[in-house]
Amino acid sequence: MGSYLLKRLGLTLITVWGALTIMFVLLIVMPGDAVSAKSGEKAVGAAIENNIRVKYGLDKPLVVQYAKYWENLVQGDLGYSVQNDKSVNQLLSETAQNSGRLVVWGGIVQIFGSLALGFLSAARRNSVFDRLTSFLSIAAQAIPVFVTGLLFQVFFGVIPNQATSKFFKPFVFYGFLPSEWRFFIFPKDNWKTYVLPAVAVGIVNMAFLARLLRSSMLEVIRADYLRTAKAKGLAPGRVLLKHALRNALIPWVTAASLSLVEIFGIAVQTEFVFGISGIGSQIAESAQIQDTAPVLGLTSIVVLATALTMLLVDLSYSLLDPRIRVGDKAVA
Amino acid sequence: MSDSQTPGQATELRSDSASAVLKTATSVGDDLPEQLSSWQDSRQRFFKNKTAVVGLFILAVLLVIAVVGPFIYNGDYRAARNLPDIINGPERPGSPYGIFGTDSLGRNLWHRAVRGVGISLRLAVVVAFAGTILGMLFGGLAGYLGGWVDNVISRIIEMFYAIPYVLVGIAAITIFGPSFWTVFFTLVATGWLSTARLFRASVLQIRSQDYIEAARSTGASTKRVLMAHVVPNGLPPIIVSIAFSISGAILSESIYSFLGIGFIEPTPSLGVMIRDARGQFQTYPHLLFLPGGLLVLLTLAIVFVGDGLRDALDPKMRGVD
Repeated sequence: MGSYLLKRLGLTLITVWGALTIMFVLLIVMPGDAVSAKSGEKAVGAAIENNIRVKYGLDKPLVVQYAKYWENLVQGDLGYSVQNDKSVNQLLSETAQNSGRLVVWGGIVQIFGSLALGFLSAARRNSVFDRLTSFLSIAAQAIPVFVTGLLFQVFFGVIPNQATSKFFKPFVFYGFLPSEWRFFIFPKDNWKTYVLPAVAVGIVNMAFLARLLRSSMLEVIRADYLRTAKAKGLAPGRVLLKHALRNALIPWVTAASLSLVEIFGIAVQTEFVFGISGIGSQIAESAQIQDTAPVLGLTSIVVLATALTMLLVDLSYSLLDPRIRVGDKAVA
Repeated sequence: MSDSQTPGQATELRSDSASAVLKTATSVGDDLPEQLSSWQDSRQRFFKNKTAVVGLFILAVLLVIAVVGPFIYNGDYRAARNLPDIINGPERPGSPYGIFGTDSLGRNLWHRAVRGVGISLRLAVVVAFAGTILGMLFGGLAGYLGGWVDNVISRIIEMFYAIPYVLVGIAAITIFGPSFWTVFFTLVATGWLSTARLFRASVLQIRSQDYIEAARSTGASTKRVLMAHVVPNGLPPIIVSIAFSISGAILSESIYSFLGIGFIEPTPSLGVMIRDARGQFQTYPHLLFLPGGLLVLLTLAIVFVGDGLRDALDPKMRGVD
């Protein structure tokens, strides 16, 4: 186990190094730098330009800048945002909480939603419920998260609020659709603002995972040992829960843990749609005005979080399934 | 969805299918499934899948609209009409200026959407094929050669996976500016990874089969083993993945455009139109519904077709219905 752990750790470090180097190279090629981020369209004199470059260390050769970037990163210094006149660390502390909440809640929705939907549609196979979830699962995979997000806003925020329309009026009146639902978009109570974004984040992979769980449960249900369990007179519910679900969970766990890695990328888009000031929307904003440091610094954090998740997934996997360690072919 | 079909439903579907040829072929297949080649069998099972056929139909309609549309609606879809229109704001659907209304610059929404579908499809098809070829090349090399080649390629794939692809896109598109080719290269750069992974896995599996051993022992060259055995046998999952690459590329393009870093105004990409609608959909929901609906319809149709292909090409599903 020890040597396996060391090996995975080494591979993770290589991955992080490579990914961050790719980003560094990409961002250095970028035409704009601190000067254009600071001055915008205005032309500045050569002396001022030079001062800015010196201030942000852009006058040094690339190799030195690259070394400096790693030196700072190891010490936990992510750089300085020219546009906001703030350190990137400060930007991070402002945005990380929002992004973190979104990712965590999105993950929870995704895990528990897919468990429930997958189990129920396998248990009630070919029922209306099953067909509906199957259809919605495919649909959820085909609809980009920003369209889901905007549609959520329309149906849970705008329409109930413009409830002058005859159709929604009775619902609001009888309390089926609380009239405060618009606060999902325009925050009033803190937690409420996370409901729709978290569902939007979670729904993307929830659909895929529910389908996976359903089909692997159907496979298990056909197996001989399940017939045995039924034949010896166990209650159907118990057979499904104790025997079918437990065995069907194995492929689901793989896919679910891998999909947790993707959630960071999905969260970036969702933040933008819902106007949450998170890491992702900050990156997009800084990239548009070519403020390199925050893009690189915040991306580094996202890459580290992703790599760490991958590592944890791998390690917990090797604990669950010893064959991976022995075979030494960690194809997660 | 066809994985849920019981034999009873399969019969029901079969009686629905109109083509007499299909019926004859199906009845032959029922009696003697072995006589069909695997491709014939797959084709039959694809056309028996209702969802897949519906998807194919929608896709065909959208394709015709995207190809023929621009010849019919050849008005200017980029420039604003004139000042009073802009001041009055978007026209609602059913106005004399367009059945689906106009956007905030008084441009016909339907004309723009038709061109948007064309742009999405054109880009996605090119991206999917380029990405698939690249992915097959690297995945095949990694799987077939193994050793350090496999190690290097797998590490590179992992590195790209560690950066959320939206961020790669943000960086790349900001550098090279928004153009067709920038979006193209970004989508290919992020799109080949999954194909490479998939093809590597299936090559690894095929490589250990006995028929490869047999081919080698009869003196077949590496090139022949690859072209005559490995590639044809690894192809079915790749065909499925092309379908999903196309829908993935359409989604990614719209995401980049929506975030304001892919295509930009006045290019009538669906993502651009949705971005445009973002600030106004509370008062003018049609601005969101037309491009959003077309985008969903387009990707949904492709995913349906891809799903049908997956079921049809899966040998495990053979003879199930």
